[in-house]
Amino acid sequence: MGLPDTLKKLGLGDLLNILKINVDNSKNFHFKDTTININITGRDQIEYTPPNTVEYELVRNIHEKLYKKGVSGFVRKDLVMPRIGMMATRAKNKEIFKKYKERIDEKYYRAMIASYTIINFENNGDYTTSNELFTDMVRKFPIFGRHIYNFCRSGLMEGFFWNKLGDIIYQGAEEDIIRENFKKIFEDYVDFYPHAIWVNPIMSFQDIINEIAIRFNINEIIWLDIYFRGKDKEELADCIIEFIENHEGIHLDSNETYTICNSFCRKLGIRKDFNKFQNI
Amino acid sequence: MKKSKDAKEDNIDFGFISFDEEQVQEIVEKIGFHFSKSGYLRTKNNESKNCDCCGHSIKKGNLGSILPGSDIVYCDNAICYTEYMDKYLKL
Repeated sequence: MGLPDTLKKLGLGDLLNILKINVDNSKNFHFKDTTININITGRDQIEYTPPNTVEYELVRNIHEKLYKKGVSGFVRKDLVMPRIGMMATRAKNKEIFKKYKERIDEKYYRAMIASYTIINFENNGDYTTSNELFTDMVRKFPIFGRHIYNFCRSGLMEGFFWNKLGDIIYQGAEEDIIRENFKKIFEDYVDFYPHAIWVNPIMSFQDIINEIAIRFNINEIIWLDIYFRGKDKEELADCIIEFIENHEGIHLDSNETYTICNSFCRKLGIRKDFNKFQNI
Repeated sequence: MKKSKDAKEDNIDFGFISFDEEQVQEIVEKIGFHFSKSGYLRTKNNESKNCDCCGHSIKKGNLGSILPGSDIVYCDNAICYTEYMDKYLKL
């Protein structure tokens, strides 16, 4: 949908004639170096810089009308991309967002919107925007922002938590009960997720071993995944593999390497053998 | 000024007009706000207007956005916008 269609749909078709004249009369008309963004819901985006005074007046006119109709707001230039990204992400992952809406605490839900947006930018190779957004998210949600990002990045929202929620829904409880129960379950997992360790930039070899111990020394935990990110973590991952191979009662189940935004990533799957396991 | 009810009812057709720091004054005046002598955003009634999401006070340098058809303002932490998506937009 182009600008004319958007304006018609908004009941602003009368602006089209003015716009047409300006477009026809201006050889400089272009869609780069923008000052306006209209209809940025992920499906469509129009950006436009008025190249001269006449067109600036036209644009102001459009703004006024859009704003009065409640369909247009203002955003600082450097925040346009993150907003477009959020809209696009939400449109792309509608099913997931619907599933968790009001079933997890709103602060987690918002971190989830941010996380999927970051992931979307990462997947599209825009490391600068994803990095800026990640920094903003950790600033805003210092306690749990990284956890929610990790849940989303590792596919837990579409897998593990999706199934947990599915189980509760399947029991046929009222929506209020579903929300109450799942909110509690999710909160507990944000505090401590036993099936994965996401190695952060400051974690040492011993820190990781301690985290494995905390999990595997709990009887019912028999598997976990360890996620490494960054080329500098490659050696650390090798050391962990060596530890696993030399410890009685645990073994390496999988060893995958992949990249996110050209960044080296490795995922180790570890399994515990109940009969042979000795506490770490 | 009313809240952004229209945007909630229709999450397809709305947009944002982008601005840079030099245009902040004009935009703020457009919605009837102003900056106090000490530089903080104030409403028509001279009340403080903070970020609706995180509550941070707003100055010229950290005004991130004003939401469609409303007087809701957010600071320049991009993540504050998730509140808008959560509270005001239908899925």
